[in-house]
Amino acid sequence: MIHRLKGIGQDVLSDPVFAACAAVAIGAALLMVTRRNPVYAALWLMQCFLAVAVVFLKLHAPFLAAIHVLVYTGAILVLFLFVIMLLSLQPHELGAEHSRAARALGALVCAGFLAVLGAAALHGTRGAAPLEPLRDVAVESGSKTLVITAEQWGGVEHVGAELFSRFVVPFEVVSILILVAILGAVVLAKRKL
Amino acid sequence: MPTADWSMIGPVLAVLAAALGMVALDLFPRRPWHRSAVEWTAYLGLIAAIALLHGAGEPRVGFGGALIADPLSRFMSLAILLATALAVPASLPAIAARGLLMAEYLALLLLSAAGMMLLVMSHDLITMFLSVEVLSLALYVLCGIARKDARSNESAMKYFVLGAFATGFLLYGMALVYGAAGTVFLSGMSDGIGGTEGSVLAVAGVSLIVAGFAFKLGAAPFHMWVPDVYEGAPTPVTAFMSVAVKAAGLGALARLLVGGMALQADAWGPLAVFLAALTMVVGNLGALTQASVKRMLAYSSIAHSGYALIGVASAASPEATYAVAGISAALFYAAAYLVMTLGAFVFLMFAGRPGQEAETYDHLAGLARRRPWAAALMTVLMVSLAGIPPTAGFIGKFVLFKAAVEAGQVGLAVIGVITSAVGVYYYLRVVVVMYMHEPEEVPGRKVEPEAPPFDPNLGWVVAIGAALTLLLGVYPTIFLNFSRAAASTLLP
Repeated sequence: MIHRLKGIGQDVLSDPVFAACAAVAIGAALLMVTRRNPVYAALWLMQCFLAVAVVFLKLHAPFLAAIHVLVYTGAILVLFLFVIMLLSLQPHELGAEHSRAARALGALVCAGFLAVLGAAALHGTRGAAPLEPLRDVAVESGSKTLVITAEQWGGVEHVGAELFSRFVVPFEVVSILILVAILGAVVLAKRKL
Repeated sequence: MPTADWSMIGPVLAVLAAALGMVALDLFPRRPWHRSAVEWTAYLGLIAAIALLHGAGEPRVGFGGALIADPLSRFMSLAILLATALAVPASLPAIAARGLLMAEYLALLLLSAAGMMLLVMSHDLITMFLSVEVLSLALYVLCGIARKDARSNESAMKYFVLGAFATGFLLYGMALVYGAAGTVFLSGMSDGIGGTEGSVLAVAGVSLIVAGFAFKLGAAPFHMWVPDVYEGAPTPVTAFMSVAVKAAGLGALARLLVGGMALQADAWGPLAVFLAALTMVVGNLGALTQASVKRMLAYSSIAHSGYALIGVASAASPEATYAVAGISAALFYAAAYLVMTLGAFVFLMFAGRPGQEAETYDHLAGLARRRPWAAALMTVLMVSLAGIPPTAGFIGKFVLFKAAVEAGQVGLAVIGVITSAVGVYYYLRVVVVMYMHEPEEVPGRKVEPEAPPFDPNLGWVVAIGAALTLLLGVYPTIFLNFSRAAASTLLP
């Protein structure tokens, strides 16, 4: 799966749907970081998430696209908006603008990094494996072997099979991470213990 | 399904079980023995984990390539478990004095340690990232666990916000490296990228990953958070995180750069040189002007990250023997730094009055007369931090500078020697204040002619720190062999 993604990446660059979604995502991200009003920023972030979800679809990851919309756009962003509105910050509470020198330095670093990424986009796919069509893959899970056909690629079954076989350690570490987060939230936020 | 090699993760499971056990114990109605039951659950878990670390053997990759058990992971896990085992007794007086939540505090401490052990065992980028998050998240909470203390809140908030920012760097870097290599697994990553020419993606990725780890290690120019966070956090938390995070982060960085990206050494080598040089200068100069000993130690920990990074910079050498020497020196230095700095932070609690830690130099004035043993132990630790023989700090710096010169990084060795000379001033200032200054008469505060009561637990921790500092300084051979074994199995 992993090796093939490189090839798919090459193919996607010549795809008009991808190009449109990428443009929307980048535009929305730029608008998000430049808004002074946090509510507008959050809404632009939502726009960015939706465009990225379409990119996931184009990358043969339909399950990830659906989860992205449900979790990020649905749950996390709504939470952002709730928090922002509950705080209802006034413009003067948002703090002073950075100094001219600091902003110039920031712009310089960003421009340099953009140049590196631009060069990477131009050269990165050079020497990448040629594009192959999606094939059936076999995922070993315990004593059983699950065959994922090209139509099922990136679907629930495929993601589930990979998650509980090859990537079982990261999956379990996430459960520890969530445990730490719950414990921490209770410790820090509970009024009386 | 990858075959589950349970013995590999035995130590992590023991620590996790102890953490969960402590939280579960808290659900029962309080009995008089409740606190000691929680305390002993922690010790039991840590002892079991150290016992399960046994066995040299060949490096083993398990769980479908996600984890690796090799001498490096064992060396670093042992260091992390030692730091945790010393942090538990050091935390108990602070928990009692400040009314902190004992079971949750210790559980988070152990969960953080479990994250660190997973980090040094990580053999793919996803597990590595998640382990960094487990250890960081637990530490963010621990920094702010003194909920009524504004400084503790500030510490947690700063650490969290800047830590989240660094997480962004790390994750983006990993995404770019994955894009360049076509794999998240460290085995085959270097070949997947295939040298640096033509792969701007990999260079950008590895730079961002190094920046992310530099933040976790407190290396300049990503060190801004260190003094405030270390000062505001409860002192036992500071003692734990200043040493254990660095050991774990250094182990993971060495594994990723030397083990996973050996062919890209010309991309990350100059970065490591730059970070090491800047960190040594910034840390030492910052420590010079501090009035608070705790802040001085925070800057000192920045400086020591710089020294350890000399080893990583030397490991960029194409000669395998020099690369091994560099990493081996960095690992040994991390262990030496661990025992001396942990002891020094705990000393601040030990030297204070009950309920009030020693913070400024003035608090330590004349300590040698009131508490001769405490002052003697601190002197050993300060001499070691300054890098004077016969202590761990001297041997650590010696092997580092030697490795740097051999690998052709003479400039770094020179900066290291000069900044160490600067360090002698502020470390020995502590000793001078303890032995030669009279306690100042402050209106409203009587100077006690006799030693105030103190907690023997803290005394033991400082004494163990000082004893290990001397042991590593006088008999470094076994530890150096251990670190050399860890470094040599790391190379592909």
